[in-house]
Amino acid sequence: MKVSLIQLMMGVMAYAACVLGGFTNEEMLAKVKKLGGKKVFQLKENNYEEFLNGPRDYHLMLVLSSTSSQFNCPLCVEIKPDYELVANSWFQDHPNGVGASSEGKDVYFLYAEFLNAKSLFQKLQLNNIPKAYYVAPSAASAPDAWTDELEEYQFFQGVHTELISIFLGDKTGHKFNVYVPVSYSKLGWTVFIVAVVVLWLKVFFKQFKVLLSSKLLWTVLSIITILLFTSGYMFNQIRHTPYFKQNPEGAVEYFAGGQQTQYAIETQIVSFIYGILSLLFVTLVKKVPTIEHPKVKLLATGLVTISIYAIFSVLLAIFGIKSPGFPFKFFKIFG
Amino acid sequence: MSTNTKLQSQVLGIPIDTIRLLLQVLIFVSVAGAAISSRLFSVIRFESIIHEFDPWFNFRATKYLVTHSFYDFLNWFDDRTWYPLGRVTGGTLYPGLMVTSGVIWHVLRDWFSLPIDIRNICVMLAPAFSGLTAIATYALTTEMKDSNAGLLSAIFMGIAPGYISRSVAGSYDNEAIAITLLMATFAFWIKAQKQGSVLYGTLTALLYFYMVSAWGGYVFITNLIPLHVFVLILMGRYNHRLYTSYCTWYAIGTLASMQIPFVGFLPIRSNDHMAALGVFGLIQLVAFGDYVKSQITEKAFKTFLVVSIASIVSLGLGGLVGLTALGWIAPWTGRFYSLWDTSYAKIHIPIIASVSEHQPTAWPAFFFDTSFLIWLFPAGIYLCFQELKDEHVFVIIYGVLCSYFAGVMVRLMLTLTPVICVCGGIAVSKLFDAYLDISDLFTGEVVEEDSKKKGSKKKPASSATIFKILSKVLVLTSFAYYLFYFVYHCTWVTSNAYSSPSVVLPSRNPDGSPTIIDDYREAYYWLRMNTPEDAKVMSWWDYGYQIGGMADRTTLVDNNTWNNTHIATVGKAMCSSEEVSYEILKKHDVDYVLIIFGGVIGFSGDDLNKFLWMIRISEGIWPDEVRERDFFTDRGEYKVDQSATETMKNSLMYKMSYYRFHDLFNGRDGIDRVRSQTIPIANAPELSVVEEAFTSTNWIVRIYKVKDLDNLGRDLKQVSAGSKTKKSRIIKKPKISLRE
Repeated sequence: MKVSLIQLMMGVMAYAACVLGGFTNEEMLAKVKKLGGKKVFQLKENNYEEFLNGPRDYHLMLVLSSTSSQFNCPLCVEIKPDYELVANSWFQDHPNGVGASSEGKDVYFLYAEFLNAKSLFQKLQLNNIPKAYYVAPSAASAPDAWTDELEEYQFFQGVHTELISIFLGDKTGHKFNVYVPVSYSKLGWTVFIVAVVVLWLKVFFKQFKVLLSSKLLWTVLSIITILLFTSGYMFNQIRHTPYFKQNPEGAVEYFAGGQQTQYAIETQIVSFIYGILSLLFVTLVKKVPTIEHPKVKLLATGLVTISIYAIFSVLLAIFGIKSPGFPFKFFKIFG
Repeated sequence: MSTNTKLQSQVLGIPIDTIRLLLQVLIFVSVAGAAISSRLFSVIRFESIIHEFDPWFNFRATKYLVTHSFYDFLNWFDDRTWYPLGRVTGGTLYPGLMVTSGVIWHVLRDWFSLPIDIRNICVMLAPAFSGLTAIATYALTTEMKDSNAGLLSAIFMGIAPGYISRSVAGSYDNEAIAITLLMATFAFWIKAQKQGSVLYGTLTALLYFYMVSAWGGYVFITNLIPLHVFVLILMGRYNHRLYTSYCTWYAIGTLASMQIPFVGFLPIRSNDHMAALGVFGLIQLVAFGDYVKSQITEKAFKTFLVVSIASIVSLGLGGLVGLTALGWIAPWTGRFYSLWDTSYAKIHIPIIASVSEHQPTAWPAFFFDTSFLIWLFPAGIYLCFQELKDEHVFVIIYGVLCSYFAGVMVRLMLTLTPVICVCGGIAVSKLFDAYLDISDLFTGEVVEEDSKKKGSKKKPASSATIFKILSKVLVLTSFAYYLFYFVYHCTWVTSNAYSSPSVVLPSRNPDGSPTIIDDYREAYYWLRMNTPEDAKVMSWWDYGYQIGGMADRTTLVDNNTWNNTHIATVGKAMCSSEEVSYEILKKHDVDYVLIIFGGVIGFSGDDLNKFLWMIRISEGIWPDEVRERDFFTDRGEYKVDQSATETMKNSLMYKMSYYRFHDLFNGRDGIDRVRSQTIPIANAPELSVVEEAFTSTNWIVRIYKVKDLDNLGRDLKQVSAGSKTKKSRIIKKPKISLRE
């Protein structure tokens, strides 16, 4: 009786394992070969348990993310092609798996898009994406046993392909190479564009020469460059600053506190202010003195000087937000 | 008419030119006075002391120079730094700064019998040169417009915080004299290029040589002048004056710069200098082409042009690729890459990324450093475009390039400030030209008088004069107001932001009276007095120069950062466990370990905050043994409280920082005031391979002595576990805190 009970349980468990998942290595390999260009399994509501439940005789890498625009997650968008590149490179090196003779075990790559597998994200109680996990080979066959076997990958600044490869190499003991495929379409486009530009130059060389020697063009270009660079454009480029910040209550913060930081929108505001001030100044120097009529001249002078004063006050007020100890303000504009 | 001009040119019987000269001299003296005095805040507030880090090395080198001969100095091998490697100091420094102060010292002592302490000369060198910078800026701007603009830009340059930040009294750094030389070189270049004068070209080259001897930033000149010439050639403005001045400058300047040991053959091998060489070649070709053009028909010349350009381009490209491939010319240096590809340094060279001076600049820094000149800058550039003579092209190129560089790297603000001052000077003086000229008021009256004679209406004419005066007054008062404001701004910024020596920190007593925190010097003095003269002190590289300069002890690494592996070794010793560290410490003969800890007083620039860089740099060399990830909690946070990782808690740095920290809190959980985290008593570290030797008043500097190997050959951990006798030291919590 006792024996049969155990047998029964074994049977049930084996059945459960069959239904709930635990693909064998051969099955996985066959599935990979059926995949198209990207050697990453897309997890859906109906299949993620099959993929993740044990027991399994291979390594898994799982990325939970979403490229949907409603989440506005730049890192997710950045990470996805890199992750796929690592997967493809791995299968380019090992089209038939690592083979039985080799020491290590095979590696497979899973990717879950939030919109397609909401319950998976709920199961892991995720409140931020992207998340990446490594799942080790395991003998545990209980449902959801894998949730305890996750080892999280930390996203760091840097080249993601390299970082993921190092992380996976650490965990699996394999060496991960990264092969960046030659993008023929890009190459083609470049050749095409170069050809068009050369042809265009050949045909319109005279007009182009006029354009090149146009003082106005160079003036505008130089001044725009200077305005951008002196208002922190490179800072945004290097630090990848957000455009602005939104509080949980929905209030929008346009100016980051502190002199060492800024939001991208500040560059626009400040370069605009500098530009307007410069423009007014040039008007004052170049245009206003040429006015003949004394009354109009006074009016124009007054208008321009007062505008300069007002806009400069705004600038000082903005600067006052950034550095609270700054004592020089013409007006109290912001608080 | 002739009597009239004679009358005008005399005021109170003195010729007007004499008065103008007198006024100019007076203005120069005032500008220099303003420039120097605004740099003295730090001396008045603290004392005559060398600031920060690098100046301490320069100071030490200067002392070596005045106590030894010049040739000793050039051949100086310093065995007291980079132990056990040493440093070929004479061949790896820019000697201009030290030689300058050495010469001043000798002149004052030997000729004037004024035995001034070399330290005072070093402290006052930067302010003194700032006065000269103002004059050089005057010369440069005068070439652009006239002496009115020159004087304005001189005063701007004298007090602009962007330049003061690197030239306050005590900031004895290469930049202190380099900016003066930069402006003087440019002023002479513009003169040379305008007149096609060999004399001015030679003077430019000599100043360039001085600049090369003083600062690595000379590369900026090496590229800017050729670029200027190149753009002029492209604009079709080639002439013989350009040829004469450039060739003179390039030939003499390059030969002269190769005399500096540290520069050596770089000018013909490094890619930084290739632009100058290339333009030198190009201008020869252009000169040849110019000659050919004057000799043959236009059609023949066209063919000649096409064939020669094609062959030159292919030859040049092929040569460049070939020479680089053969290794004849140096590969592009890392610092060069980090200027163009801004993410390069972050990924590949942590040591460069770790220096805060190499961080990008947010917009407030520009406004902070130049105030309202920053919005006059584009206006000035526009006005330059309006005239667009050869020299204006120079200012435009300088302005555009430097705004990019200053945006990428905070410290290059320094090279942007002069051009902002030049443009600001041009702009404001144009405004004054237009509104300060009151002659049209009187000419207007003459017309009125004419009309009066004719008996027509008088009133509107005089009211027109009032309107004219009003509009002038309006503009002039508002800009006078801005100029006043500018002076206030500069003084405030200088006094508040740039006058702290950072060796001593300002603070307040509990009763609110100001005081200073002098922990660094306390600790260095302790080292000097209490340790053997040949003791080796290990610290993070930031403090190497100060230890060498103030404590006079041998260091392992310093701010020269020439050997990344050695720095990584120190980093590894700091971030490994005690057993691993001990092996490194013993292998390098380390006697003392010095760390900076700000957790008690709230000093954020301490070693635990720099710790990640130590880890990153040593991970670059030993990726298997040191891993940045191990120092982060599971949630990816950098923590020192109860959630700190085991690796973190076992690292020597963590242990040395928090050793006996809890005694301050009567044995309860301590609060780190920098990281605002609670250090639980359970984390209280035990040290077995080093022992506390000294902790400064406010705990900023902590020095540990490395224990000797045990006499009985036991493991040091067992030894310390065996003898639990705690050294009793009165621990008192400091009452003051850092002033924000």
